[in-house]
Formats: sequence, structure tokens, C-alpha cells
Amino acid sequence: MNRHTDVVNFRRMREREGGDTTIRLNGTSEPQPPTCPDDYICPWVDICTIDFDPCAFIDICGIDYH
Amino acid sequence: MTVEVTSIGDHVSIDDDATHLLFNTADSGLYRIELITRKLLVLIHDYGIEAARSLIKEDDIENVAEEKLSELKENKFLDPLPEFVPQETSPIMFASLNVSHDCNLNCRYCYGGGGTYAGDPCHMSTDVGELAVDRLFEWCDDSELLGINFFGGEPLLNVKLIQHLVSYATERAHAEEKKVRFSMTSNGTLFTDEIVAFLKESNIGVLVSMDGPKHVQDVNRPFRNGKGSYDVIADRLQSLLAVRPHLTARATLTKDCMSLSTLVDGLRDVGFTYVHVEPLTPYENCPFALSEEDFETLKDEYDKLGHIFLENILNGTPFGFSNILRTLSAIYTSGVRHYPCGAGKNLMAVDPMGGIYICHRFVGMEDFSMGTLNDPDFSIQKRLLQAHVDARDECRNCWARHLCAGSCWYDNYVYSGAIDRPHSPRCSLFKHIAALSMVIFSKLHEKDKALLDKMFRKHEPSYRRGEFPEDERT
Repeated sequence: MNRHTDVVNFRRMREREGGDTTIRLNGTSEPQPPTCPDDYICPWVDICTIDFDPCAFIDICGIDYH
Repeated sequence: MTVEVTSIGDHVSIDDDATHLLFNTADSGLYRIELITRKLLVLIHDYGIEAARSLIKEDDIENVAEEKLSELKENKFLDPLPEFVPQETSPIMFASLNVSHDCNLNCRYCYGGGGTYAGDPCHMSTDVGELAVDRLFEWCDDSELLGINFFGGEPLLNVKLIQHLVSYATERAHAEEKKVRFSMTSNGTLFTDEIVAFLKESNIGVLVSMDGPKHVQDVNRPFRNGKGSYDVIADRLQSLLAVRPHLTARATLTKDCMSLSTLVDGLRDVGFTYVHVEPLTPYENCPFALSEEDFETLKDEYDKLGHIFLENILNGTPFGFSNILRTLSAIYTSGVRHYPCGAGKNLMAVDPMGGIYICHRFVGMEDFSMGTLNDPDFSIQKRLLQAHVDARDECRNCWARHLCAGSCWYDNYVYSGAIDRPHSPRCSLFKHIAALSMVIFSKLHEKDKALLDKMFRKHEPSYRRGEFPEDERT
């Protein structure tokens, strides 16, 4: 390892970036039980794997789009 | 939209000009980071925590590295991945019924032998259909929600049976205090006012197989007499669109038309608001199968369409490009998947004679049989459950494995001869789509987080309806 290069880059990055903390962008909502809204008519493509809601058939039926 | 992807152990960093992201494979957590955090994670991956710490200690201004190290620990980037333990058995909760082994189209790539699956044209009988429904209720254990899809051939060639089975399954569900949802995959040529009324009344989800604009559809999916099918479908879809304005199209992409936007725009012109595109799974020596170079070309197509997709969302004029939406949805929910689908696990496909297969794509292939309705054999289920994505040689170290879950069993089988060995060009394409989706997700999060929540939160699938009321946007 080229220690000098890595350390210098490290310092420069720090000075350039300004110190934002790491932010999680997803999965921050409360987990929801798998279900579908009563008025939601689910086409084949949505039944298969991961739906928007999430779908009750997540990871279950999966025949999906083929 | 150009995206750079760098694997770091089990995790991955995703960068474009303005965005630096880190994705945790263990829990599908997506993080916006400083580059300094990635740098530290690389050092830790290459040399270990203590060595990395000592390497940067004397130049660590204001204890930043220690702060970033804490963040990495807190977000479990340094933890070993949890071991997935597969189940021994699994209830069948979804049945795909091949109610018709016959078709009025002659699609040039059909894996079902023109709808007959290499046999004689035939329809499922009432007895077989009822027995399939009965078995679904018997084999579902205590599952409260079941699904039935009507498939073919063209299922509407046997619409009388569909109507009967919807009634039959609904009555049985009512008697057993369960719910059953219905769907159908159709080529769209046989919709009549009567059928549309039935689909509406019975809440049957409809996926229409259609390949794009007229010049593509008529070549790929002609009638048996060779005549193009586009005009007929475009006409007959209108009655369905009148009652079901947010229809989904599923398009097969062939070498002849590699322009995603051409396909998507062509399908939107017909009236679809939601489009899913999949590369053709070819038969041997298929002249219009995608080459490895074509899969690389597709990445550029996704980049272009991804940019348009994002702009349209932010402009309040979204369109449902399923391939990216599905990945966005998986990212939103931090989805971790170990199986590509429920084939053989929670799903069975039933042919007109009562034969059972792990999914509709394997119908007629004895190696993937689950016996018959009268003599079932679930021995293959254990094999499928053991072949989860963390257990596969080709997948266990891939950062995208919990989003992709190992790719379609059938696609794998066609390309590699093994259901658990994926096709490398498809893997590469999926990883590209996943990384692109992460950047799009990040940009949506940054510019309009409320909109992102509205797109995907439970009970509000407003995106599908193309509705973003101005007063609800921030």
C-alpha cells in the first residue's frame, strides 16, 4: 500500500467534502405487513415479486413477467 | 446518466458526478456518504480495522476517521452477513392454470411451442380445473391469501372455464374464510365487451403480452395466418382501457429492436401506462436472440430511459417503466430476497391434463415436474429451497444478489443448463439497472422525498394511476 498517497487523499477528501454524516435513504419507514389495498387490482407483473405496497405475494408467486 | 460501480467486499459503492452512495448487501440499506467513508471502508476491507485505523491515525484531522468508522459500524457495514437458513417445505399459495394449450397467435419466439407445448391443441376440462383449485386450497396450509393466474396458450380461448373457476374458487374461499385473487396473461386479441365486463366484475388483473409499436408487434407476434396483430389488439384494448385505465404491457425485447424508448413509447401510444420489458429467452440458434454485446448496448438504453424516467417523475408526468420501478420499490422497502420467485416453492403450474410443474415456463419438462394433481411429488421443492441465492457459487459474493435473488430459474436453465447458474450478461445488466435505480432513488430522495414516499408507501400506489396531485407534492 502506498501509505503516503492514501493518507494525503484522505485529508484532501475531508477538506473538500465538508463533513456531512452518512444518511440512510431507504427502509426508514415502519415495516408494513404484506398486504394489498382492497381497491388495488394487481396485474401479473405485480404479483410476482416486489410490489409497491408491498404486495402480499412478495417472493412467493413470482411467475411475473415471463 | 453515467454510473460508476465499485465492489467493496460484500458491499458496493455507486457514484455518479454528484452522488456518492454505499449499499449494504446484508439489509439492502442505501446510504448517501462522503467519499471519505468509502475510502475508509476500502482500507478496512483490504487491511482490517486496526491496520486501517493505524494507517490514518496521525493524519486524521478532527477525529473524522473515527467518526466515519463509528458510522460504518452503526450501519452494520463491518458485521458478517447473517446466515440464511432455508425452510424444509413451503405451502403452495399460487396456481398458474394453463386453461388453454392453444393460441391464435404464432409468436416467433414462443417457448410454449405455439401455445400447445409440443402437444396437440387442447383445453383444460372443468374437472381438472376444479381439482386444481381444490388442491390449491388443500396445499396452502393456513395461508389466508391465495392467487390464481389464468395462462395458456391464450387463456381466453377457454373463457367459459375461467368464468366457472372464478366462481368456484371464490365460493370455496368464502367457505374457508380465505381470499383469492385472480389474474390473467393474455395476448389481447380476444377482448369483447362481455369479457371486459367479466374481468371488471371479477377484479381480474390483466397483463397483456405486447411487444411495442406496429412494426415490432406485427413481426414478433403475428396471427397464425401471418397477418399482423397490432391493429386488432390496439382496437380491442380500448374497451378494457375504458374500465381499467392503468393496464400493464409485458414486452419481449429481441435483437431487431434494441431501442427501449421505441418499445415503451409504442406501448404508451396504445394506452398502456405501465410497461415491463424483458430480453428474449432464446431457443437454440435463435437468430434474433441478444448477443453479449447487445446486453452491453442495453445498458446505454437503460441509462437514456432512466434519465427520462427521472425527469418525468420530477415534472409530474410519470410513466410506469416497470424494470426500474420494481428495483426502486425493492430499494424503498429495503427488500432482501433469497429466491428469484416462488416457482415450486409457493407456486405450481398446472397443465390441461392435470400435470404439475414448478412454474408455467417449465410446463412439459419432466425434470421440473411436481407430479400430477392426483399423484403429487414435491421432492423438487426441497432442492429449490436449498438453492437460495446465498448458497450459489456464482451468486454468493455478488452485491446485487438480494435484489436480483439469482435470476429466473428458466432463463438460467436455457442459458447454462442449470437452474441455479445465472447467465452472466443478464447478471451484468441487472447490476447496471440496480445501480442506476439507486442513483435515481437518491436523486428523488434529495429533491422530493415526500414524492418518493407517495410513490411507494403502503396503500397509496398512486404512481400506478399516474396521479400526483399538485397540492400534495412538495
